[in-house]
Amino acid sequence: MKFKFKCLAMVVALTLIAAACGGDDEVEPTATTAAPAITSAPATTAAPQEEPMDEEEPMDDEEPMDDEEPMDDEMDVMIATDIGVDLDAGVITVGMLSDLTGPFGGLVGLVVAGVNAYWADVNEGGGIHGLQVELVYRDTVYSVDNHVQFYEELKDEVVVFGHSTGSPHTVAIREDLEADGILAIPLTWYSGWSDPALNANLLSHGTPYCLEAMNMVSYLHDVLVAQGVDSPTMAVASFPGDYGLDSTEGAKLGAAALGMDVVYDGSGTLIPGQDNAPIGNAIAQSGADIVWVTANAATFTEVYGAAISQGFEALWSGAAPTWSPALVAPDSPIKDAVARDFYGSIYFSPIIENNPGTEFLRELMGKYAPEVPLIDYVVEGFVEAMILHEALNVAYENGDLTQGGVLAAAKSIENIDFRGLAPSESYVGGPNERLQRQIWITRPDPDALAAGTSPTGIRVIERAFTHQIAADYVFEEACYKLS
Amino acid sequence: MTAEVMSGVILGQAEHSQLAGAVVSGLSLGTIYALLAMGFVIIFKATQVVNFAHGALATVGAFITAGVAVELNFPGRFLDVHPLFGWSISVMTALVLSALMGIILERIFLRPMVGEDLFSVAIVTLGMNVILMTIVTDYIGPDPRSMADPWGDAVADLGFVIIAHTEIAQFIVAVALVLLVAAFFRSRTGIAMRATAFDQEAARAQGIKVGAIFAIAWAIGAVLATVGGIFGSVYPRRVGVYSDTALLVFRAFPAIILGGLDSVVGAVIGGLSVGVAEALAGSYLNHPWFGTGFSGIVPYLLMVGVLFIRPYGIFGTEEIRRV
Repeated sequence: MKFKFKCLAMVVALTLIAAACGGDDEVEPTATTAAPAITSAPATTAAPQEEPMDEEEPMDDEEPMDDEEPMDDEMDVMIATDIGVDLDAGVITVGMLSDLTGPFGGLVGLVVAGVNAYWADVNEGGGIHGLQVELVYRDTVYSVDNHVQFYEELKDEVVVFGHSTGSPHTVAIREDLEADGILAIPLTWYSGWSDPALNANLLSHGTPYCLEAMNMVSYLHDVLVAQGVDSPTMAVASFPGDYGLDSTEGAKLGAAALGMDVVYDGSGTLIPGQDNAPIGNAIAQSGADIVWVTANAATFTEVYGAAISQGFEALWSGAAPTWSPALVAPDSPIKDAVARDFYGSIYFSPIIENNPGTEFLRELMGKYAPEVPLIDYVVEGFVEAMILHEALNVAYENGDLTQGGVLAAAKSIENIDFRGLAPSESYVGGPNERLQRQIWITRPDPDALAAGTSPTGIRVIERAFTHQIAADYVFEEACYKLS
Repeated sequence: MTAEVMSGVILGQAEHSQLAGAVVSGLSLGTIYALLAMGFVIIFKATQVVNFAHGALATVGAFITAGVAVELNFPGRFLDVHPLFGWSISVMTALVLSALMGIILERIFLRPMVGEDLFSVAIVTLGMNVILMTIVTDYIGPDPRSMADPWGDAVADLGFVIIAHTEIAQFIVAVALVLLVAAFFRSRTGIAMRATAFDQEAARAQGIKVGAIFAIAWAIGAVLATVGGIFGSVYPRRVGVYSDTALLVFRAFPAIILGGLDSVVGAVIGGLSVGVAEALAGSYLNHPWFGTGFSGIVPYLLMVGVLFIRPYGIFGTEEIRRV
């Protein structure tokens, strides 16, 4: 009997070790300052102090502390701090509410890899004027409850949330962000983030799902018309929720503007884990010329496979997260059909493009995370990190690294140049002035994937493309309103 | 292009029958459910264990198949044979490995639990499920692992309906496995398993090695789960095994209950019924009035309806207890 239990214990131990090997590195939060303070810091410190001061600060100090002496003869900058910035230790603490192991864990893992590599480089180069940036991750597993819980846990430890995965999740903390005066960068492309009523404490970026879909279906419409198709028709199918419905609303707005009939409307009908083949059969029955699907790659496969197994051919496209290189992998049974039918879109420059941004990214990823595959979501990580970098820089230059100071600094940024990785962003002006409308249009490239020249299995056919329908769209409110 | 849309319901007419397409799709799904349900029922019948790790067995089995066929490229790296023959050898190898996995899991996790109450044993299988899924999810990652089956996206046009070659293969394999299981229960070992299922102590008294019967039941269960997992991971359903392949078993639970928890015949009939009902609901009841994902609850409605009439399932054994 003892032997049995020993065996069992060994198996359990080995299992736990195996599971732990694949775990995510979690950065533990550092000590935080409890009360607001204004202290001085050298403007051009090359490295943080090695021994952090351990002085207790008053809990309810309305008078700013001014007990720090200049480190040297350099000109000092007076920096106000409250939470998440420890000038003594030379650390800025940033919260990251990320889905690391949930349904978007694979995608977010790549984003996070980009974020980490970018900040590793910044920190190695001296950080934000000598202050090292520490990222404190919490794995939300794409649960709104976890998201809210971890927000509450971190809000008194961090100066800003550098990442917030998911629209409903970000909505769930939006009012708290406003009440607490904290800034967050959402990892979601919901059109509602351009609504001034929703984005007071958010730094959204990239082209929203709605305008992405509007652009793509308009582009495909033009392709078919150029091929002599008189009145192309469209079918749409999507996940429920902001991602799916914001996107299909955009597709339908585009179709309406072009006078294109929607012959099958499966908005919100795709459910991960259920049998989605009937939706594919219904799309095949509709005989649509253009099919717009907003899902993930697994669900897209079910719909697409069911439709083409009925002999159905059309131009297919979908929101960026619908694509996976696995669709055109050498062993994929549908790689030829996908290469024939599919048009992809993405909100930023794919990594296979050659521009200063992608070269910079490839260099940093090779240096800090060579094991991470260069899939395009790494670019999103760099974009998020560059936005935060700019906000922290401006806040420092304003002399205010408090939570409110970082928020105010971020909202005053007129231009962030991503070196070609993405269209430049501005956080000044109304939504119609600053709304991103550009997408990169791609086609599947199984040969490039097999040859290893395109890890994402795509080639770019249009760069920073905006269709006239999308350019003329006047933004008044979110395409799909979150309830 | 002439079809008319009314809130997600297609009212058009096409060359191939939508009804026939939905029925074929449902039967295809139903055979996967039936294979998974058969494995579950055989384990339950022989060992009285409600195996909540069955989805994990299907996922791990399919993952092993992908590993043998693609990663190891066995036997392709040694032999230049016809793709169908080569793939069949890959699958047979994977099935042997899956059977071994079933035997090892039974020996390590379940054998020490013999004599414990059924609830405790069921909880152990939940723990097994967590362990296996954690490991396999880590290995699979975000992208699917291809099965590299020899049929690819080939289809057969029967005029009124189009069927994928994989679906034809699936029907043939499912029928063959049902016949094999039926033959097994008429063999000496199968009769021993039925005796064990009827009364373990009496079977042991007759010289039947109950432990060996348990191991065989888990081996057969793991093999059937693997075949279900393989066909749930090929065209036209998927392009490979994902970690969510395990969800197929949860969708097959209504089939198991509906057919009767201890009936192999019931598992087959239940699987096919639930598959067709789900596909028809997906095709014809996909209307906003029913709400999103209505087809997903149709199997449960069907199950509840049957249980109202036959509380032990269509083919389940009625249990009579002295009070």
